[in-house]
Amino acid sequence: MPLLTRPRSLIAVEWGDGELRLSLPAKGGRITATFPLTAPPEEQGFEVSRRLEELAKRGSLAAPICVVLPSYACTFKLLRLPPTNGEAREQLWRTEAANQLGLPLAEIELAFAEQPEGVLVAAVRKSFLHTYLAPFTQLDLPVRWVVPAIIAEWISVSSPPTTSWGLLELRGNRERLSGATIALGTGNCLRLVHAVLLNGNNGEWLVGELLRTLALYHRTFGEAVGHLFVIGNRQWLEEVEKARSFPPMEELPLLGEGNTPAERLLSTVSLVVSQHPDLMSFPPPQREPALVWRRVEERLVGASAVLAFLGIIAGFIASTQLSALREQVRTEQTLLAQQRRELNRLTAKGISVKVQSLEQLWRTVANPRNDPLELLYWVSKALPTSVWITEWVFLRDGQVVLRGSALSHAAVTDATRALSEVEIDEGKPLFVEVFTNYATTRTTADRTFVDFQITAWLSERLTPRQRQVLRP
Amino acid sequence: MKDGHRWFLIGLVAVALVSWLWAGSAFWQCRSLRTQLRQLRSQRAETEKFLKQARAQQKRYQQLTQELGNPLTEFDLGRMTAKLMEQVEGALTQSKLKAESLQPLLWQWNADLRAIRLAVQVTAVTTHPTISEGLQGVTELLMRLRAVRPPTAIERLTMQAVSEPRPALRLQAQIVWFVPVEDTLLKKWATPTRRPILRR
Repeated sequence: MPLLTRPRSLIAVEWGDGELRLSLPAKGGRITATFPLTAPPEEQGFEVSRRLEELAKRGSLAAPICVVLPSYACTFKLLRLPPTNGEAREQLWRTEAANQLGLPLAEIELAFAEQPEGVLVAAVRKSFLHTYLAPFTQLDLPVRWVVPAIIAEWISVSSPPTTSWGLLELRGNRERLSGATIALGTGNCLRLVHAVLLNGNNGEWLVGELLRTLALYHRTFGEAVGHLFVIGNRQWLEEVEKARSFPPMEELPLLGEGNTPAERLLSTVSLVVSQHPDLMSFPPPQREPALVWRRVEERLVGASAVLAFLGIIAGFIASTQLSALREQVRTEQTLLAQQRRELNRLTAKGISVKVQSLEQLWRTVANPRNDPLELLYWVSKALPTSVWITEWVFLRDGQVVLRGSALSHAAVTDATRALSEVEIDEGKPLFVEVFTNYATTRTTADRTFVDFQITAWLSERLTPRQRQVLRP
Repeated sequence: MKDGHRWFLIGLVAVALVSWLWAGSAFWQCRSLRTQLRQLRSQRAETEKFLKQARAQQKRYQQLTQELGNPLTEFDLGRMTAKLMEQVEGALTQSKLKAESLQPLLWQWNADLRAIRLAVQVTAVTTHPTISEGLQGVTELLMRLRAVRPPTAIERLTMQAVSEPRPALRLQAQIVWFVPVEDTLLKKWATPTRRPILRR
């Protein structure tokens, strides 16, 4: 039993008798909820559907669902068949079930449970099953199990008596019983299940059915039922059980939690199913293509709406940026055009060539080496006092010729050295080359003079001595 | 599936498609515009650099024309020669030099310098009482010639001390005037003129 107390992510749902009951997984255990159905019986399916839809929207029905069928809606039969294996086994069971139950296969849905003494088959009308499961299929809920309640209840008895024993499930509300199910067997083996639809025929009718079932069991299996567990409101039996010879009855100890026996029963069923996922179950409803497409469509609509919204936002952002960029490009183009116009205006008349020519002209006229006044200043500053000049020639190609007289040859040499050491423009020599053409001694009136000619070059000579001015 | 739902879904898909196409197209346009903007800015920076150079050139041109005079658009040889001789003669007189001869030389034009070259040969003698004062007069003359606009250059200068009739300095100089001219004049002079050869 301790294993059964472990909660699992499984939802058990049951509806009928004016109530919708759910057993949901919760933190630290399970919670069970009962919703009264106020609509007339024929419209309760819609009410259930609406209630389930509300729960599904809140995300409460995401776990696998076990739908618990009322036991009285099913017909049970133990088929005594030789043990067979393989794929044909279920087909054999179906054929045998159809034969023994006397119901057409097209109208019923079957569920099987293999037992030591044979195969227990449960049948339910497809029309009932369709109606019962309609709220679930409409909402496309993940139904995994469709289990008759009595089967889960039988399995929930973990330490059954070794002799024949039975289970009596009573369904209904305080005013009336809607149905009862009697399950009889030995140990874990379920041999006979008799479902009685009471429709308000309480008391005597139920007792009669119970007695007939017990007698049938005794007659069929040759054993008397020694113990009966009762589930549900047993006040209907208390009035009559004293007068009859029933086996000892006691209430089935249910493991599940809940405020009412029905809630505890549903909680127990959910625990049993979570522990025995391969228990007898009718095939769960197939998802209808239309519903599948509707879910897809809902998701598509959502995704498309999100995409459209995001696309519009992205479009607005991108187009805003685009407008700003266009404006910037326009401004840049305007500025560039203005600049180009100004540049064209400034350079239209070949001003750079003109400036080059004027610069060259300016260099020619403003060069201090071409200015005789500058030369006159530097030469007069450099020459020693023992030398005097009688002729001074300045030529455009940079040649300067000095003719004159000196008191001695040494004075001429001093003059030549002094001229070659004249510096202008931060230490650059004024003359590139200075040499003495001649220095001739002349005596006049007992005085000796040295006549000389010095030639100095302001720039490198292109053709040496070609333009040298010689003494005329 | 209801038709209404289907049309709603189709509408939403269409809106999403159109909006993303819009966003995508705008995004691609933004990319291309950003590239264009980068190119434009680069071009503008380049042009700005050229513009700066052009402005500097323009400024330099103005400075040079202030020094050298505005380029001539029309050239009148007689008038220009007379002007040069007048200026030189004036400078000689102001510097107390007596002009012995003042002879204009052949004029030339220089395509590289974009200027014409007007030369005049001067022979003059100082009239100062002493050689030293005569030298001072020569210095003044050279300074005056330097201040002439358009500027003059002295291409050849010979200064000789003479004793007859009295001690003085004889000056012989070739003074050249460079006058900038406009391209139109240069083009006109550059056009070859060939006289037809007549044959019997």
